[in-house]
Amino acid sequence: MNRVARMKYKRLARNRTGLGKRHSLWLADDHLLAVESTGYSEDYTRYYLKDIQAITARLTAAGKAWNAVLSLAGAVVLYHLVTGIADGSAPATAASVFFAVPVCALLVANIIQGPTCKCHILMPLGVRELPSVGRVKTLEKLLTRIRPLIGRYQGSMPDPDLPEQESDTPFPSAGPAPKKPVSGQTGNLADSGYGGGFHYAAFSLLLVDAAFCVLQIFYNDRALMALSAVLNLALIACIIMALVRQYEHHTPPISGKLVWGALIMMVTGFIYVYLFAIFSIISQFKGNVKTQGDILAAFANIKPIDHPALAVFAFCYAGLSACIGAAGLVSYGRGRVARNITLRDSES
Amino acid sequence: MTTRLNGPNFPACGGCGAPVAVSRYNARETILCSDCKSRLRVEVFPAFFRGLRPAQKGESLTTEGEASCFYHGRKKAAALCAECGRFLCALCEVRIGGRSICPECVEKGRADGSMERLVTHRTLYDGIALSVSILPMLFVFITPITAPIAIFLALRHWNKPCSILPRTRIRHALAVAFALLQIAGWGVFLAYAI
Repeated sequence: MNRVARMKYKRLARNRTGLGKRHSLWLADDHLLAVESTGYSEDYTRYYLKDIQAITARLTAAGKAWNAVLSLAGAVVLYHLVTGIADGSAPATAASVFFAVPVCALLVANIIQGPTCKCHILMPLGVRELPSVGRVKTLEKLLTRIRPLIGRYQGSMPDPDLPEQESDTPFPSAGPAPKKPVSGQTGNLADSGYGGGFHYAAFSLLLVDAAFCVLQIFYNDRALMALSAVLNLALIACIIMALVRQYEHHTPPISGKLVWGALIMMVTGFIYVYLFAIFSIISQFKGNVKTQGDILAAFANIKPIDHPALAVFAFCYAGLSACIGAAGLVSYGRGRVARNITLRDSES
Repeated sequence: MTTRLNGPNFPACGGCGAPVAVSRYNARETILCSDCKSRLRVEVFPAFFRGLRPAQKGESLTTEGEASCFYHGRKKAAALCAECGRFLCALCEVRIGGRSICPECVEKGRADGSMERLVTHRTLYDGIALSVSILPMLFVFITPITAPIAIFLALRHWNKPCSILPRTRIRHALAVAFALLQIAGWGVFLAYAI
């Protein structure tokens, strides 16, 4: 029997969103292929060029927010680098260089990629989000590539004097405008299986962690260090469970982003402190550390107040942790109140 | 004859859902939403103004000698199935990739994955085999079990259709290579230990 030759696809856009999911957009002869991949499986959605009605994009502030965060992080890291070099502190210099390179690279890449956007495609049966088109530059490239193809399959635009186009309001025969288009976010307003426990726990533990961090700047011993380790483990577990839950259930968008911010902040803090401590132990004890107990004792003996670079980092970390925790509790609480009101209104 | 689709299916702001006025379509620059003042880009194509075309029902037979549809004996055959050769009326004809296919062949093509245009999901066995060969190296002592599993997975699914996108078999090969290295490493370790 006849079999169609394997389709040839050209990649138009690629983006990484969600927990390890990658979205990409490919162009074939007569359709666009949106691919959602986990690395172990792929899901395909085809948008035939003859059926595409419109592509809309809303510019978002995510790019600017990342610029601000990365600039602040870069400024803090560069400050540590400069003070580390001025003080002749090898641990501070090494840790700062380790962070400075990727932070600056990410900042430059974010600036080059340009403004961010959320893109939707309008088909006869509804609106779908295109998560792979996250930048305005990518959108422009996509439109430039598909305009001639759409012209080939759909022909030219209809007569501008058609009755439907006379007024400024779109389609008087159409029904009421939707409140929100279909988006790529999982969950819906009616989904109420998750009470927000992990989010509340994570944000509360961030506040406690901030307090611990400030305390450890001035006083540090093994018991406090052990308690802090348990607290951080619990916090990481709550953050991971919160991330899993927010992709299964409806979550206020800002809270979702704050959880991601908390995870990145914790990972950064771990790496920085770990590197600093290692270099500090090496330079201080010069090979006299033999057992795990010696290493732990050496860790417990490090007092941030004696190391200005570490103290400033700890203050910044504590401040950021407190801000994320407080903002998360407020935004999640408000988001749930608003959602409950909307649910009540829709039921009535 | 075309009919307009009734219902809220028109370009709208992605933030507040407010519809965009027709006069602001295809501005080729960012416009402001009338409600939330978000910056928008709206590109509308001719299909938007044409709406949905109603499905064709198929013509009835008019003369005795005319070929009839395989599934509807009283309807005139309008096309031939490119897979099985059956006659199809306008209602039964399914156009896929410029070919006419009958509903049974469409269902068969979807079920066995032979029609790439109907594939909506694929499992990436090469990615799974590669992960099974690499990730257990974090916990070295389980690699004697996972390395043979990785080789089995890679070889078992070597010829299975993978992604419909351009993809080489490098992941299969790497999975086998890493697994063989692990087995060889254990062999050397045991030889020296014994």
